[in-house]
Amino acid sequence: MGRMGGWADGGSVLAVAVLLSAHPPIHLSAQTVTIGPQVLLGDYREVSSALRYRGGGLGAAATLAYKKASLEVTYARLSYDPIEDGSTLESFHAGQLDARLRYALTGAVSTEVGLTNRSIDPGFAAQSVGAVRAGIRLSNAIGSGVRLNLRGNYLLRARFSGGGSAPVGLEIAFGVMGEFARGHVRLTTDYEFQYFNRKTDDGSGEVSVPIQQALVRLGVAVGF
Amino acid sequence: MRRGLLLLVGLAGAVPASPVAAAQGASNATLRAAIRAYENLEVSQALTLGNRALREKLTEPERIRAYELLGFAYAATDSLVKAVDAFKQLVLLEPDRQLDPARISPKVTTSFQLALSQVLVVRALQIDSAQFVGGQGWVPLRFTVTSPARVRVLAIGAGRTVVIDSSVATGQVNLRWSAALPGGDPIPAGDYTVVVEAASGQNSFSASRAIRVTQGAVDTVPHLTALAGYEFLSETEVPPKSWRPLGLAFLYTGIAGAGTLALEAATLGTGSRRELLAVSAVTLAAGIITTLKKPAAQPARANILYNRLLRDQIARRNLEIARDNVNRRRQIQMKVVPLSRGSGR
Repeated sequence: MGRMGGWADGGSVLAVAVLLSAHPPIHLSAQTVTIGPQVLLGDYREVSSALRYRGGGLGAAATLAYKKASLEVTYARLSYDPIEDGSTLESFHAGQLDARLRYALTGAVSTEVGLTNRSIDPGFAAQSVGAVRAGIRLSNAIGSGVRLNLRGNYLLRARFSGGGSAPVGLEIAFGVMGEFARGHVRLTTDYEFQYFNRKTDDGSGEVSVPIQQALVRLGVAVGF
Repeated sequence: MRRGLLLLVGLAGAVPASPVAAAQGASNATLRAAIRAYENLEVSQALTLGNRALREKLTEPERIRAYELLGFAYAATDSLVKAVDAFKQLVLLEPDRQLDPARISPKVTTSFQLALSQVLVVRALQIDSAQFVGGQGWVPLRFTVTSPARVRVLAIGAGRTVVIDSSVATGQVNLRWSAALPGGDPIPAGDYTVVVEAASGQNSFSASRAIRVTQGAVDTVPHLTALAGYEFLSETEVPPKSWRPLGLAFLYTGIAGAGTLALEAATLGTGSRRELLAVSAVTLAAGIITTLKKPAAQPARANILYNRLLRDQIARRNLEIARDNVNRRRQIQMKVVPLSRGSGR
């Protein structure tokens, strides 16, 4: 399998994320910034039931909110090991970068666009993938400082290190966020399920080689 | 018989309430004898002695008493012209003298009124106490001029003379004095004499009254912190308990769970779904806890708007008060108090 090329490689995604972070110009007095670490648990599968991995890792998340717009950037580094004991499958590391630019349509509904990029090390152990995301996020306060989130993204223009395409790429996520210390401390628990209906053609015709990943993100963030 | 009765009535009303005391109060022996004669209804003797007393040296009160005695005695003997003459002298000496028509014979009071109309005097000069902001109030003045005359009212004091009024008047005169200089500024503080001068032909008369004018600062109005009858409302209110948090937790968890199950590829096998279950449990727990927890106070928008209106009203009112206080600090509080009785000549 070759390396994923074009705009969806890790460096490009990071550059876009940085660009999104820097624009538009924001007055500090009107913005809210949060930043903090995350602990992740993951379940990764691709191609068939024989390629199943489970692992965990650490990450970081940062958000910048200005009026109705907000930008969220997360990066996670996970170590995946084959689920089945004695498997000949190789463990690998996944570095996942996600960027989401949101705009609140109403108090509870936001639209979001962004990028996702997952790079695999060693590169041949699993598929690196990059895609553009677009979707909707629902967010409802259910109590003092407690908020539920639900979001669904369509993952467009997916690119894979092993080639192929994914006519259908979806991501569904939900979670709960609690604010403490007048919003200066946030605890988050999120579930994120990502699915690519990847298809390749090995010369004998189109073959379905789906990829899916379920992640739990436990995070704490400091806001200022 | 009838004449004697009238005389008796006249004398009964004319003699002082304590004639003996009045007689004792007179140091002139002739006057005392005249009073005693009058009290003993010896009117002609009283007239003789009264006229004789007037030719002697008398104090002013004795002279007043003598003319009064003669007025009563002449009226009793129907000598109207002489009674009026005697009363005229009495009024000139004591302009404010009054006779009580309920106690004194009409014959006497008629003579007295006739005398009043034939002399020019200023009677019953009254100045009421007054307190006001300079330029926004006045001092009430009133007096009576017994016959038509040119009347000038002056305030004399603090090294200046201020004309209060000048007009032709007769009878009761009521004036409002602003206690101001011709330029409109309040008169300086100090003791003044209000003089009423009446002149008609060769006759003239003046009466005066002393007053004291003091000045002070006008009180400023304190700023408002509330409007009477309007109270600030609580800007938060506790909403009623709701099952919405738990409902939303179930809804979100259900949608995400159903979506995950629908998206999972069958060819990849079914996993333990521990991630989904873990986060679902946390989300549902959050929903249950927030449902059971007492709802937090929420901002009460209507009350916030009401309070904002109230604060705006108070601020607007305080702005007016501040402007008013600026004016008040420039104003002078005038206080005018009459002093001891003045005199008339």
